[in-house]
Amino acid sequence: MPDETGESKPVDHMIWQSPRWWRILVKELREILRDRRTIITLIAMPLLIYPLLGVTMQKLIVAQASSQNKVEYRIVLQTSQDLGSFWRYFRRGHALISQREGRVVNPAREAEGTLEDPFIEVITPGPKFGTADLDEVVAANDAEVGVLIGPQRDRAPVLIEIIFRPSSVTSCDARRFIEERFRAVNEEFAREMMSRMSPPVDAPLRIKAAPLTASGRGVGSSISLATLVPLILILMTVTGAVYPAIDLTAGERERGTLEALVASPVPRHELLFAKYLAVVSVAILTALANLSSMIVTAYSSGLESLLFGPAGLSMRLIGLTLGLLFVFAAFFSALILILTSFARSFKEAQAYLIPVMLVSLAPGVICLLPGIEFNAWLAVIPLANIVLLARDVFENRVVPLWALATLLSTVLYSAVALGAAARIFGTDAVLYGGDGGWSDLFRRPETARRQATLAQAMFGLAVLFPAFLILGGIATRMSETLSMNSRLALNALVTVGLFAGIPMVLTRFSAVNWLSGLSLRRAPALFFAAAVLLGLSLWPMAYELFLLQSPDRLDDLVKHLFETYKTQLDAVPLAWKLITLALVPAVCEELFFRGYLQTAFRAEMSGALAVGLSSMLFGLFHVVVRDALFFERFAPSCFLGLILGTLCLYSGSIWPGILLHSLHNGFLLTLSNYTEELKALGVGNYEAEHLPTTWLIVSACVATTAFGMVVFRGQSTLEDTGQTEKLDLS
Amino acid sequence: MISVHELSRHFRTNGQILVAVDHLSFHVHSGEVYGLLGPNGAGKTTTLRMILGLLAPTSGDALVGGFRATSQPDEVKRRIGLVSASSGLYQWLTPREMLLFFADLYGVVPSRARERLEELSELFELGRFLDQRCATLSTGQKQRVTLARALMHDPPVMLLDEPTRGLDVIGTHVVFQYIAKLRSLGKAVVVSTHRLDEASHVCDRMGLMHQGQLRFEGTFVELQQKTGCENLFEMFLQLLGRTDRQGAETGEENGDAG
Repeated sequence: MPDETGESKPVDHMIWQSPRWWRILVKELREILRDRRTIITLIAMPLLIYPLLGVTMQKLIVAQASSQNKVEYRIVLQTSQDLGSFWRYFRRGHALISQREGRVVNPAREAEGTLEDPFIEVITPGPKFGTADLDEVVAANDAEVGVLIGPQRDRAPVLIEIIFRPSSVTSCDARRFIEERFRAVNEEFAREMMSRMSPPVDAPLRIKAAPLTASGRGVGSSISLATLVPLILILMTVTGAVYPAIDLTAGERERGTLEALVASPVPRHELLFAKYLAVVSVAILTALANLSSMIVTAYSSGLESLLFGPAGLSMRLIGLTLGLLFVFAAFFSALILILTSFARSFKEAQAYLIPVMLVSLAPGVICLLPGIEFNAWLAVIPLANIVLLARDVFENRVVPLWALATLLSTVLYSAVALGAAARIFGTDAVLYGGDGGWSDLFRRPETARRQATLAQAMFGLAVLFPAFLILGGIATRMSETLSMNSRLALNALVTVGLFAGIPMVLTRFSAVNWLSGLSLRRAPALFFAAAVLLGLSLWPMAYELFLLQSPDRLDDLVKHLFETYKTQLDAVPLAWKLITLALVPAVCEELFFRGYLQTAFRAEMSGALAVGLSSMLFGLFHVVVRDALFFERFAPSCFLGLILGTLCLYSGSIWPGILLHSLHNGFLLTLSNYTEELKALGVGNYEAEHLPTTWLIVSACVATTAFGMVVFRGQSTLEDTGQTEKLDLS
Repeated sequence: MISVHELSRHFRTNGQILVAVDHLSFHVHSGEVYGLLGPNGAGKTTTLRMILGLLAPTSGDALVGGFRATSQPDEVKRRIGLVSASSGLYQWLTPREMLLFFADLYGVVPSRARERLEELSELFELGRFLDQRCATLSTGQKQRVTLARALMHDPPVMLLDEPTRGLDVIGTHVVFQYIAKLRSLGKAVVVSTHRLDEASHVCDRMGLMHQGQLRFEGTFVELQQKTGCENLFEMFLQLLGRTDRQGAETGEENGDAG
């Protein structure tokens, strides 16, 4: 409405209105769902495709049906002397997994050398096989897997090699079953190391899968049905997202409606977000239509138990499948929006999308092959990771680490893709064919920025997380042949490369000012004093927080393994341990989590939210240790992250945080170096794990005082500079 | 209401710099219709896009209602209604849905938006096809919906880019009436066109553009006095001839592509 000057202003009103992005989304959906091309993809395709696939699948499934009725694994060992070692580790691992899954172990059956559910028989090659070679026994299908157990040497992990037939589903399952049990022993060992304030840089068992190259005469088909079903669902979801993504971006430009849209006073990123939600919604609707059609086809043709397992398709399975499809649709929609936002016409968008679709098919199809197992690489490859995770969900054998890696990496990729699409959507280069192109996405800005943008921060995370998983795995494998000193050096090198290298490269590339973008400014002396007090007083609370979540009773096997490891670590000079395990992680992690991430978050959100978010990510990264997840580390790490984040927020610098972090880590390491002396004080032995109450009270008082100093000094500094409102910690 | 100051825009094509708009300055007051005239490629549309904040200028700035297009584009957009010949309609929506959607984008409250819809529906005689899918409308009907859309938020400034392109005599007449109506409502209007006969009918003042530069500016009578020509067509012929001769003499060393 025009005001006195003839200018139009929106009228304030008391009636509640939905958010604007929601109203734009409703309009987009209304338009797209009226289009008959959408309806064809949404309804007609699922109705046609599944009955056809159902017939094809029946033939494939019949071949597998016989092997699904009874689960039976025969495991062949090299010699009868290996039986003792095998059962020692296997029994412990099995007990841990049974405990985790809430099942009761039958010790009597185990003692006999067999196991029920699944039925396991452990054998050694004898005259009846006609050969002593494990490869030949497994290849001849006389056993599902062969297990070679390496010699037990001081200061080196025991090598366990599992020989299996990748072409046989049963053999792959048996291999996985055994491997999970051995890994459980490693995980318990790592957990014990952490509870004893020792860094988890080693493992007692080195597990190696050895697939036989020749498939032999094993049973089972060459294609995993549990992989095929989610792959089809994912591909159909992709199909559903393509048309709306093109129509709502390149299509709008071609029809001439995009100019009118961006000429309105609505930020481009809000318009894009609404369009993104519309594309995701149609993709999800397509997924729902496909899943429904698949269920109906499966039940009507009697394939449900073979496709979805003996229990059929439960509500839990449907929920998980839809959840995975949603995560994938969120990622893929963002990805294709980059391409379609750049295209100036429908045809151009199709030309961009076709190669992308073909390239994306490749990892999904590779996952169909039996014997393909999750690893760090596959867990961070889009589409492949979702297909494998969906397969594991269907087979009820989800590995938490890979599930977390899949979900987190996909969410991060989605955020990065959406950020990239927002940079392109509605720009003059796209609207009017002006200057600009793909290179704009990678061009270094001409003017310096004070801090990274939220999109750049998400990009940093999206690069760091896969690199963290992959490099961590490589370092672990490399360290098996190294001395303890060299292992610590290698770990430190990886930490520097990831947590310092990535933010520094990104800061340089995106023309962000070093001092402000990484919070490297000088801080007042009082914050350093508070950091010293906090660094020396926080560890008892973090330690107790960890103990609260740790198992009560320790197995003798793990105790023994830990003592062996402890001897190796004790041989390393304390100074070297302090440099590699306290100083380097403190500097690098502060640089990334507080310096780069939190500073970027702070520019876009309140201080409390920025600290909370960076702390949560800090905690999440500490949950991943080697190739397992330790959720009990989340709370203590998050707690420390909150303190460090607050310190950085109020001081405006990461230097006090580096001091605090180094002291905290260093203090824990020093304590673990003097366990004998601590035992004399009644601390650190297995019978009395908890710290004395007086220690806890004193440390809590000191920490509270120091934290108060930080907040008080921080508030007065900000009041002096008039930035109190900006902080908004309330 | 509109103040354009030293506005320039360069494009980079095939490694060469193309000067689309070259230090352009003019002002438009409320209740005035200003014609940006020039041949194809003169830089008229680029100028309008820079005023609207859709295209960043290489140098200079445009102010609308006191707001800078470069630094406050949303405030500027809120005050402008755009009618462009290249604008399309949402094929699967009805004019009613589309007009209410755009009113919403501009922050018009639903009750007021419905009132505006009634008013504009009457003004442009949209009633017959207000609930018909846009894909089924004739060219003239579509043009009327486009004109109505630009007025849904009742902006004080209107930018019309080649508003009669592709229209027949009746359609063109509707646009002329529309511009006259805008003037009577006190709006500042900029009309870009290469149809000189149209401009002399509807514009209060005109700016003659060529090769991104404003060569002459004033009322029709003032332009006649400045150029010594009887009509706009002759003025343009003179303008083009002079520029071509100048270009030949200077060798066009600055690389302007016109």
